Amino acid sequence: MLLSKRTPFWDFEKAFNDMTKMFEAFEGPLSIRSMPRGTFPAINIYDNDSAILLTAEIPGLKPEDIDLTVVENSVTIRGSRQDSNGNENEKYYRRERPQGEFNRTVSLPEKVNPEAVTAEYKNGILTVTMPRVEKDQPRKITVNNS
Amino acid sequence: MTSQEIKKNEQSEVARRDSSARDTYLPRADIRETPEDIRLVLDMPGVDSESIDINVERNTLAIHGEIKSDVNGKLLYAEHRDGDFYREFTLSQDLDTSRIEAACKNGILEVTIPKAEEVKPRKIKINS
Repeated sequence: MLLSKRTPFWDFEKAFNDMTKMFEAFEGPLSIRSMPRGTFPAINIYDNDSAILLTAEIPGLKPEDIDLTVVENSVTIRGSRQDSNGNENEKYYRRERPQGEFNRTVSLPEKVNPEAVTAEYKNGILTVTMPRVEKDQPRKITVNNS
Repeated sequence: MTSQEIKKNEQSEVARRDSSARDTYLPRADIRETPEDIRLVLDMPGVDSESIDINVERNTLAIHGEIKSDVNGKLLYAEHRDGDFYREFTLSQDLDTSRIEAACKNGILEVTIPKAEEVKPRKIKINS
């Protein structure tokens, strides 16, 4: 939430970004992904039948510095992003990258088994694989010929 | 040009757009200056050192990072979308573009652009 304080008008910014995108030519980069500045890291949730997958974009952390908690139906990601803080001789021209502590909890669409969760951190993306509770997994029912 | 030709051209234009339809996004960047160089730090999650292209053409530095997403499953909720990263920076004449260095780690790209020798701060000795 530290980050949203810096830009209290993020929703205006987002609307503006969306509008820019509409009028932009087809080619060329889109703007910075439009999401509220306060929501760091950005999270995607996927569902393949046996597990719920969550990916979070958290570049620049060590795997051991990510604090991940999974309970039955929610995931919490905590951590802190700090740059090697510059000395006095350094001057910033632009700071777009969110810094500082973050703490995000998302609820999951299905119940998962917290005991069986695995997580992997690669190239700044955290992928959490959370197997569903067994009785909730979709079952194929064979139709018998009578 | 006959009207048919025009039509054909327009169609090919549309087709070309469709085939290269890969969205690109601007990576978030910090730019800072030290006495010796300019440092760019870019958040490019999902990119490794093999999938980054950095090009300098005259005074433009272009950074392209390719994302290969390999998550299989149905997308339920999305805040980050599939797409490559692309961003251009205009470089000042005072930078030495022949000695640019870049390193990528944990999804962060750091590019160091040294200043040209003649613009680095110098101390001038006063002779008595």
